[in-house]
Amino acid sequence: MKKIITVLSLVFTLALSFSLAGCTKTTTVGILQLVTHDALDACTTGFEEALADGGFVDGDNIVIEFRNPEADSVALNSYASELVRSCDIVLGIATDAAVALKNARENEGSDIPILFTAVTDPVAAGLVTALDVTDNNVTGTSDASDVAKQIQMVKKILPNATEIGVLYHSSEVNSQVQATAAQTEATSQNLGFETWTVNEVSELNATLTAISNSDIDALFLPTDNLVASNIQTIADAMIDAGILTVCGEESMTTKGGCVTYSIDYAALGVQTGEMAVEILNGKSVAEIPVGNGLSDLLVVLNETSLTAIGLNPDTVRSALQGN
Amino acid sequence: MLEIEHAKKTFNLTNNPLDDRIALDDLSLSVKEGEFVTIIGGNGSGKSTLMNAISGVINLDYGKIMIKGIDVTSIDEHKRAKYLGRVFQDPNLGTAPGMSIIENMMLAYRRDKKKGLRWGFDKKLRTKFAESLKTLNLGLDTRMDQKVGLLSGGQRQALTLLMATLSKPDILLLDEHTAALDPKTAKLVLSITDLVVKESKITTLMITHNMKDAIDYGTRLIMMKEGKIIFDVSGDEKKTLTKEDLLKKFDDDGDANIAL
Amino acid sequence: MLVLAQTGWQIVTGIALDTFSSGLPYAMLALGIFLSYRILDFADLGAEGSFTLGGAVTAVLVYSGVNPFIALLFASVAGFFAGSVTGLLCTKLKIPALLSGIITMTALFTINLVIMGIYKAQTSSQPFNILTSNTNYITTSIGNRFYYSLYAFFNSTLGLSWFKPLYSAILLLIVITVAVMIIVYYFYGTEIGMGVRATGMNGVMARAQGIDTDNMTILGLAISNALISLGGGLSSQVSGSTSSNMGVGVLVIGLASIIIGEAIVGRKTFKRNLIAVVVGAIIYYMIISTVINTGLLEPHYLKLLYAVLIVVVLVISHIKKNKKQVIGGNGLARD
Repeated sequence: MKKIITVLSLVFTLALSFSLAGCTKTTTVGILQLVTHDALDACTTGFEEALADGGFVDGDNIVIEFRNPEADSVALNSYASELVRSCDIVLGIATDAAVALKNARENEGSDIPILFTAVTDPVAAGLVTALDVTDNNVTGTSDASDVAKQIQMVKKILPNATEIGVLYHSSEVNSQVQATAAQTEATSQNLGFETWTVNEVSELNATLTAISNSDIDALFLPTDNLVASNIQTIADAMIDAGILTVCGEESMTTKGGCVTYSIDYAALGVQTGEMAVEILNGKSVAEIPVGNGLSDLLVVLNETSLTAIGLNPDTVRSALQGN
Repeated sequence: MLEIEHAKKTFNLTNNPLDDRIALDDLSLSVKEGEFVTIIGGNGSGKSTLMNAISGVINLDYGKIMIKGIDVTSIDEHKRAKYLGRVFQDPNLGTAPGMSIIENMMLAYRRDKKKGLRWGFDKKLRTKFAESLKTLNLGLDTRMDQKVGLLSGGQRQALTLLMATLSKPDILLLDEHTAALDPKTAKLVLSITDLVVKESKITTLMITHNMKDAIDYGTRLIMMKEGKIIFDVSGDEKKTLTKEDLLKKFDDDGDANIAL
Repeated sequence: MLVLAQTGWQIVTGIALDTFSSGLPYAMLALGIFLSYRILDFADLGAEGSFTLGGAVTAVLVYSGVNPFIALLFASVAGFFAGSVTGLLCTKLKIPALLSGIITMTALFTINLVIMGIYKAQTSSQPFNILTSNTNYITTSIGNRFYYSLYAFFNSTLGLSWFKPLYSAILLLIVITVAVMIIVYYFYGTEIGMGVRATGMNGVMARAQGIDTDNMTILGLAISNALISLGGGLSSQVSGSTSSNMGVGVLVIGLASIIIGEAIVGRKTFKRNLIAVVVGAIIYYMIISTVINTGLLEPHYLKLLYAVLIVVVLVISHIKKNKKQVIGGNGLARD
């Protein structure tokens, strides 16, 4: 028992002498970024820029406490509690971080405003009641992409296209939702629509052959785990067949797909930072609905893949510019 | 008490049938109640296999084993335990090292009883166990709450022996239980064995490497070779038996692999 | 100076709160792993699956309106069955222990996804972004936690406005942990419980004493996994979220807790060993939350810290053991 007390007191003494994080009277803004990642880093930078533009400068009239748990769940929860206890407003970047902050606030019985960004489905994550009902002192920006906009690219690039298809993993509910949205948009544009699903990776090659032999002009690839992890194989097969691939997100395009509209995470960060400025200036969180990045979409092209199917990347770019 | 009929057991050492080792070769044995049988034989003569077959560690390829008239040939090892008390060659095998002496004895006491969610310690039994431990004269009665892992090999074997007879078994199986001990301790454990067996008149089978012990102890002696019983002597004939007789018996069968 | 002292106090209370609220669910996990690893001498890799299973079952049931305490009970029952499967694979089908655990863990990965899919199918309408969202993720709102009613009682009924939900969580976690320790202590002192312990220490002896070692192994693993699942359920309740990979690495946490506890508290008796495991888990979390709360180390060094911690404790306990042997002069052949 004595030993336990010794260890306990040793740890607490250590804690006292290393008291680095602290809050005095100046407003403290906490940022909890789940993990180091280009997109998430861009969010942080954009957020800080917008704060500065709004008159809140780190080290001047506010203190910014930045924490990155590198996706370690223990560190994530500890940082979340620490920030909630010591800050006046907090930002969670990525779903896990935002949820951890909201949970820490609930457990601490605190009522500080929470902002989030880079969260795809804030309603399902339990962060907000609805995208336009932010009644629990939480708001922010969503990085959900818009399937309809991705499908609209097909006719801009290939004005004579008559039929498109979609490929996804049959057991992913989330991919099914995207496929249905894609079909709705294709129908409204008078495009024929065909669906291919695979149950497991071993079926992929046979399915790709079937797609190559079909009449489609373009293939939509949703943000599906199976598709994303086999994107090179899929992209190569489509290039051989001369079919345009429209991807659900950026990394699938850089790994071999042809085109996509990507969320501009820096702009998303700026948008969230502007919300923080409004809140710090006294606006109620309930008056700020959840924002999205659909007005700042970036065109992402894979020039090699486009050239390989006989399209000129510059022509494609100018056709897509201005949404 | 114990009836073994035409027991056969072959071990397949490799996939090649030529390498098969016959451990029990159509062995039949009948042991009467109260008999103390000593078993000798060279390495690989099948004496340990015989013990393992009786206790259910291995299943016979052919044959039948009956205890008290009950056919136990295909009964699981743990279910056969209610008839049998066992002491092994390795002193580590007979006890649970991480449990105290009293806990080990409680387990042994319930060997032939159904186990339920009753509390495992019975205060009344404690004094009874302490008295049993006193008879060993090893001072264990004052160390009942110590872990068995702290005991010496000899102490463990003595304890295992006591545990095997705590709840009187129908048959006591002793598988070279003194072979791993120093001569002095071995002698002590053997004298305890003799005392316990004689006192409670338990039917006993004891494998030994020591011919002198095989002659000095027990009421019947069996010699095994290549899975068969080649010599079986009891009564007055056993009392007058000498080491030379046994050696001659070994020599007659041309076995160079004798143990003294 | 006053400000510094205040900040220091804030950090200390922060560490204490984090330690108990995160540490106690892992103490439950460590108790479960102790029951398989130490008592049955069975390295059960299924633990990682059972932990997530507990979290998933609790979250889905609570989401469907089941009382959180009953949900936690069901989580334990689910773990009990998962452990039985590992035991059956190992004893009846004669699959090696390590492999049996791996098989259960692999199967549980899919089962957990299916369980969590029940929730996902009800809530999801938005397409996901692989970059930033975990597709298998359930959040539990504060009103659905096992400690909410106690918090409401203190906060609303008694009018104690300073009383945080976290305090009620810690109070209940202590009660649950102590209750489980008492139940485990008593069970392992019963006739059957002693049979399980004997099976783990010496199977030959156990069978010779009429103990069905196969059934005892299955039962022991079932109880172990029930506690691990309960730990997962508690953890997902306190952290408010369940993810399909929450079990990754918990085996190491459990083993580290056991080793630390045994080095500090000792393992002389079964009772002491149980206390050691819980204390070990708390100390493990105290060290980690101290490091995190004070900013001593960047989080990406955490995994290295875990490894160093285990090595240090192992070395210390080894030195202690050697010292004892020299003094006592009692060379132990076996531990």
